[in-house]
Amino acid sequence: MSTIEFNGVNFSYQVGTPFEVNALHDINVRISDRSYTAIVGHTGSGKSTLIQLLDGLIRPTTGTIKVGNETISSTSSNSELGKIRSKIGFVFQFPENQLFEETVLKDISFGPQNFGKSEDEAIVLAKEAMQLVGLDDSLAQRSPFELSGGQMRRVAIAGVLAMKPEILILDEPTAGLDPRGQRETMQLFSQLHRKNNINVILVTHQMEDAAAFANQVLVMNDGNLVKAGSPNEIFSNPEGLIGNHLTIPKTTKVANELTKGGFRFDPYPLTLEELSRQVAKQLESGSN
Amino acid sequence: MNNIISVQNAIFSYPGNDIHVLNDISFDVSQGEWVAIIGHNGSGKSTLAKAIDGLLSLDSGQVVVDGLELNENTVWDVRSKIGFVFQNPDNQFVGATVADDVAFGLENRHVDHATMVAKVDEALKLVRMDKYADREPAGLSGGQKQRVALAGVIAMQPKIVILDEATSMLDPQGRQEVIELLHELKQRYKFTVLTITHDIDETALADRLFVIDDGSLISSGEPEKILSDSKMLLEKGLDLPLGEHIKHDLKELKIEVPEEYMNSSQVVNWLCQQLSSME
Ligand SMILES: Nc1ncnc2c1ncn2[C@@H]1O[C@H](COP(=O)(O)OP(=O)(O)OP(=O)(O)O)[C@@H](O)[C@H]1O
Ligand SMILES: Nc1ncnc2c1ncn2[C@@H]1O[C@H](COP(=O)(O)OP(=O)(O)OP(=O)(O)O)[C@@H](O)[C@H]1O
Ligand SMILES: [Mg+2]
Ligand SMILES: [Mg+2]
Repeated sequence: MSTIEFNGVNFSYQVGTPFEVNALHDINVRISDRSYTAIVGHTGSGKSTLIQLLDGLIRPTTGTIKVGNETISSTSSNSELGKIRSKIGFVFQFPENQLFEETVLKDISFGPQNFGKSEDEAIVLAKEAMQLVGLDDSLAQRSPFELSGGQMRRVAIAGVLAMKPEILILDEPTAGLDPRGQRETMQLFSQLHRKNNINVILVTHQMEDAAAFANQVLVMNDGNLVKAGSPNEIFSNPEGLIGNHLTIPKTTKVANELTKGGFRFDPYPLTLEELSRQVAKQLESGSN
Repeated sequence: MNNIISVQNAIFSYPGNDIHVLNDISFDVSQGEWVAIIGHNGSGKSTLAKAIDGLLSLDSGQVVVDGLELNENTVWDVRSKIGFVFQNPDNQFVGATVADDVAFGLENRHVDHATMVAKVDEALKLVRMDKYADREPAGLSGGQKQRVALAGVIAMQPKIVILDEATSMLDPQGRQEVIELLHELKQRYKFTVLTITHDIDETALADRLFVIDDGSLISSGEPEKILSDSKMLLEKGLDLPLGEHIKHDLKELKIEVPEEYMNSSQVVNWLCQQLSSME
């Protein structure tokens, strides 16, 4: 069980130096077990900082974070953080920052081996993960640094999936993927969430993805958590989004314009496919 | 029109692998043009951009930039005409502070100190990063890094700007702002832009669109022409722009839609007309 709770969390970089940056202010939020949470917010609003706290990459300056039965605070020891980290798969914002092995296959099989799988088992898991993210077998023996940007991204994601984590934390995981890759990876995460009950936390600038996949959306602005709600609550209020430097999803925008022209939507569509289905129905029902 | 970039029969393989990552690519770009490049992951887009900047040299073929044929002797002159934003901004930071970093591109341009400071300050203001001038580039958020990398190019005022997924980590409003800013600067300074992107809606603003597939330039032309070829776009792992996407979905649902390219507001207008004509 891995419900996550932030209680009065503050975080500053380079505390006590003239360069101190107060990146998070008094964050309180609950992310329930087996949920899919999207975190949105402007550049520099604190999204990456927030999720790095979960992985113990940094510790809160004040306040606590509970992950299941474990607690993270400013005084947590590395071994305590290690316990939490073993449940979490983390895809960094820049994939290069998490690649390090000599070959793609070694890189992806490192995680499972680190958590006790034999080399053979790890290789099986790694090959499975390569297939899931659309990495061709021919890249297995290549250095992960001699790849295109989108290929590196896929290696980073595969490395995390091969660990079979309970909690999947994704920092803009589709940046750099081609459109088909973006669609397929978002489907993959959604499937892992639904079928394997994985708790997904996604940082994204794609409002469409937040709307289509998440059951809870957190809006960050300048280090503050300014809103938390269902996609419908968050995205049905365009003024609230614009005030936070965000935009409404393209689908919502089109639906709004169509509504002015006489179309009716129920439920309000969160994907283009759903929008088109409802539009088609209304055009057909008139013609006969 | 003057060709500012000309690539002829470019062939390139990375060492130790005989696959042609660039497989006989040829094209010309005229002065002042905005060209967007799309293509699947690993299709060769970044490699092509690096070849134009002389960061890697072709196995055969020719690159001419602003009248200079690219070779060992001209590579520095060629590079001084090009402002390049890399796919990963971490690979381009050299300065200890944000301001130093933005100044770096100006250093071998013989501008005096006062001018340099002014240009750096102006560029940082344009991308809204002036408050961060004294910060370390490594301690910035992802989107802030991309903004600083763009400031470096803006300060340099090069003849050619190459952007390799330079806005991939900006928030939606920031991305729109930066793209508008670049269009505005392009009007003012008449530079030429090559931009690599996976954001299909962004490419609609380009003068010309190139589609790269497995090392070949398989299609090039006005965005309206390429973006209405939904069969090709989907086959190549790419996306349809918003308006075409809706048309495509409706067609699958057996609704008759116009053939020609339409942007999303045209599609909305058309649909509303259809609905009202039914009453
Ligand atoms: N290592 C660091 N040292 C000092 N300040 C930092 C460091 N990392 C981030 N910051 C600052 O903390 C704030 C929050 O950064 P964070 O990376 O969490 O933003 P973000 O919401 O993920 O933004 P983006 O969408 O651009 O990735 C920013 O103002 C940033 O400059
Ligand atoms: N340093 C390198 N050494 C060997 N092969 C490389 C190297 N860099 C890239 N490649 C290979 O060259 C091909 C083209 O890579 P390139 O980076 O040009 O693709 P791209 O179109 O920019 O892709 P992306 O959209 O993923 O950034 C890929 O198959 C990649 O694996
Ligand atoms: Mg971030
Ligand atoms: Mg690339």
